[in-house]
Amino acid sequence: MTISKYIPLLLCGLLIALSYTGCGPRFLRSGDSNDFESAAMSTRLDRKDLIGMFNEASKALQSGGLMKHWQALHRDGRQATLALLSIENETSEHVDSSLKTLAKKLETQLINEGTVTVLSRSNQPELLKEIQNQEGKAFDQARVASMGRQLGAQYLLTGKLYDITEKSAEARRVQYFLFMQVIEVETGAIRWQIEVERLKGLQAG
Amino acid sequence: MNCGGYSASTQKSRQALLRGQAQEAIEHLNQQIDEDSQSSEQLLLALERSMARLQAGQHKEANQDLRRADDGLELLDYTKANLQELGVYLYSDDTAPYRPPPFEKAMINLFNMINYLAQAQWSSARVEARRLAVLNSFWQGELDQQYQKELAQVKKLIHWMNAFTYLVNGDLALAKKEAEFGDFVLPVVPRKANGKRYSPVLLISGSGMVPHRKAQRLALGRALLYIGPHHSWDAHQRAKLARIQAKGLMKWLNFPSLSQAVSGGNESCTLNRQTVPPLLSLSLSQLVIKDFERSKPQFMIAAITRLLSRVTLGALGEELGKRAKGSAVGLLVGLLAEGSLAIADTPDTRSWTSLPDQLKLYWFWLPPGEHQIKVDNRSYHGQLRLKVKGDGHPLVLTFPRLQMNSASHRHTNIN
Repeated sequence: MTISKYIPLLLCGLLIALSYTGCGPRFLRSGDSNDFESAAMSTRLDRKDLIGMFNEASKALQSGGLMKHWQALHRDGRQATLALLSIENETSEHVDSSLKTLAKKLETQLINEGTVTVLSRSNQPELLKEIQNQEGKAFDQARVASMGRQLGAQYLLTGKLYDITEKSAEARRVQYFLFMQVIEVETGAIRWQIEVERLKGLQAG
Repeated sequence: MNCGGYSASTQKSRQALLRGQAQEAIEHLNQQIDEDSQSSEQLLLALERSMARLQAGQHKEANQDLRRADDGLELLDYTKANLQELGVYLYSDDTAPYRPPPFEKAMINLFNMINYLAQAQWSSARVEARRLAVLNSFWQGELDQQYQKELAQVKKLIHWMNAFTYLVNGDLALAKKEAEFGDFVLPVVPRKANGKRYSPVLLISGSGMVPHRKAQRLALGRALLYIGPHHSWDAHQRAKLARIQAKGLMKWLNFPSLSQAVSGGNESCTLNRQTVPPLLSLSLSQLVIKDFERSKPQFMIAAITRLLSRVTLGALGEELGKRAKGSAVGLLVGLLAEGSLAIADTPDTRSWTSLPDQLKLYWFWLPPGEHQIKVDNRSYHGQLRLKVKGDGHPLVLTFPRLQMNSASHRHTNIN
């Protein structure tokens, strides 16, 4: 019986044993590790995705004709009023809290710029909820206009996030499509709209 | 993990659940659960706890367990654990990551959906409906026709649950589409009663418990007889097996077998003393048995290969010992090497063990007023009196304690 015949077997055993060893966990903060900050850890939306989506949406809103209109009104001392509705999750991922964060980031920016008056959601939750419910069904323009007037809003900023998810034995790919729009309450016309895309996935390895 | 493997370590919690002691089951599981671990066993323990939490009416916590397991098991699904898979043939069945069978994966999303519905979190339930749609299309692309046929009732349950979820989210078109896919007709929405709206009520009842895998020692000869039609060994392996048998050595294989299911028995559901038939009955035990039968030859092959590895390593140890100290020491080293591997060899008894034997689904529309619902099966007898307001608010009642999702409906659990 030769020993060499069993060397591969012993090596396999050793490798399995080694695979169970590793470094201990450690806590991290921003700036400690670029890899950690930018690495995707799930197929949901993380900070990097949110910053990217926010930047694209914000840039498009700032450079659009509607903002110029608002700025002109602001110069004339007639500030437009805007109510922010939530961004609806129409995806197969639990990303509701990410979408709330995105809406909050947009709200923060608009408030701080001061070009439009932003109506707080928390002051009118019931009415906003009713408007939001209208969105999910057939859009009743007259009803939304009436509710918008009650709310004192001339514009509504809203959005929906959709996805196309594909799964195979080798990977799962989630393609996100965020649509945001500003609706003029009086006319029901869409005054601004943008689409932002993101891709997340999980590949076998 | 003890020598009986995963299923033995979760026995106490299963027994507590069967006695209707959900809180006791949760406490047993809490002692075993490491919230930070993403190992297969820990994810399975989270699934077991989700069933106990559902039974205890802790829907939010059940969602946390199910989501953790959903994320973790998907990650394991896409993990090429070649070294660990090799361990199945060298050391023990449960060294490889646990890969849940298709129906277990569907149950993760279905129970997640049920828990969201029970909390009236309609949009989160809708996310689970979409996840199930993705899973369904994955099955169509990856599973053969026979396997898909076996999953027909699971698919039907998915379509029913999705239809209800879309309906309560105000999307009738999608609800109708699910009905079309599932080949059923949506229960008709009754006309308003005195200007008041009917409430859609979904009742999900689970009874009994699925069979679980248990550790079994099987004599080599019997195992070889069983495995004969499923596998052909190469000449070298055949010779080695023949030598082992000829020597008359008592070689045992560690192999999982399946326990008996705890039957839920016949179930009756009455609404205001009138019998209501279920829209759908799903036997999860049947799915567990089919999955086990499918995996059995593979378990056997792995167990025999492990036996060969043990005998080989024992012989190697004996040879090395002989060279160093003589034949007596050699024999001892050989026996020690073989024996230690035999101890490390635990059969894979991992599975979602606390799933109910039977799942039944009822859907009715209730007019405003007081109603009585009664469910009787072998593992549960309970009744619920509820007052429907007439605002059309949906209700989701879950098993086996009839939990309700809405504060807008006054109810008394008579049980």
